Amino acid sequence: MEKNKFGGYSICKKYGRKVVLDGAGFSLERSGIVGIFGLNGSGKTTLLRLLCGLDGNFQGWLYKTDFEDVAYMAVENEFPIEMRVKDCINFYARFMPNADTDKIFSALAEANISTRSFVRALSSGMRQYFKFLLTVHSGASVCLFDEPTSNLDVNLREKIAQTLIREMDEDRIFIITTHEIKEIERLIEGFFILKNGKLSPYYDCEEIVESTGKSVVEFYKEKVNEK
Amino acid sequence: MEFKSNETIASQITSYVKKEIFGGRYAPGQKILPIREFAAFCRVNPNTVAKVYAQLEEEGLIYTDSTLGKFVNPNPEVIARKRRVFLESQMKEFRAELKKCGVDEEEFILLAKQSKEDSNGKK
Repeated sequence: MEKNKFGGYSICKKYGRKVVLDGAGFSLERSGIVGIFGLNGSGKTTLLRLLCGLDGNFQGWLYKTDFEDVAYMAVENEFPIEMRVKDCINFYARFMPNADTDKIFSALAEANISTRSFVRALSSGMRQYFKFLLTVHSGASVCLFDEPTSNLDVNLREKIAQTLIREMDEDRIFIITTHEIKEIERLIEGFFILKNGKLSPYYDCEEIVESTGKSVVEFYKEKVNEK
Repeated sequence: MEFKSNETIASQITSYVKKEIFGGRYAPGQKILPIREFAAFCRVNPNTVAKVYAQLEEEGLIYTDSTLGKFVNPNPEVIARKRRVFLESQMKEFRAELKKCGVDEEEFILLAKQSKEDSNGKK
């Protein structure tokens, strides 16, 4: 992807009469790890699905995006449970030609997840980690992670953090949504808050801490509960 | 590495590295961890570490060899001088805090001695 903006503006999305996104917009021009925070039901998943081209049924504009260069880790299980892990990887690599399958295989081996097992034999935490590995090693310039660490044990959380740090480089954008900010507070450079269908301006973590003397979590709690 | 949440990560890492250098655990001329490795060690964003290294380099505590990586300044005298400045500023802050509790010069020295004896006594 050329060095252009990622994001969109005036994004509106309704499910029936329920308005989920109401003029949300943001743009990211440089690489980095960025958070999108919001309470449950604030529309984080909806926004990510629009950003990666899974859902085209919305109003508003996205900056020109090559959807093949965007990877998305969904919350739900994407793979047929009767498929073997290794077949899933090969299947995925057909859509993501830049995927680094060697890294995926070795990370799974390290986590004691056999690539010969069927997806149904994996615990939900393992499935989640597997999805994470596919996304982070997809080779895509933009990776969207929807709640990557929720429900995982400490070891897998740590593995995810370490992998994000190692795979981050100057031409990739990682966007992470979560409501458990504490978990990724130190990994992100900045964040947006999604509330009432709108996105806040971009907050730089270091600037927030320096100017307010509050932690990112405290700052977020105040903002999200503001009337 | 433990972090306080109401102080920037960058400034906490900066003072950590400084203490490692001034305490002699990173010796003059010693190679330090590359940005990504150090970020993984601290579990923080690599860009934060890049910022810290840039600042330490500006202060002359470390330098970059374009092929070999990052190193502590090899000149022990420079390190000693910077250590001195660092300690003086720490001391100034510390004394200002104690002064708020009404500690004067005399009591300060007494306290310093006593606390030393205490910590020796425990050993």
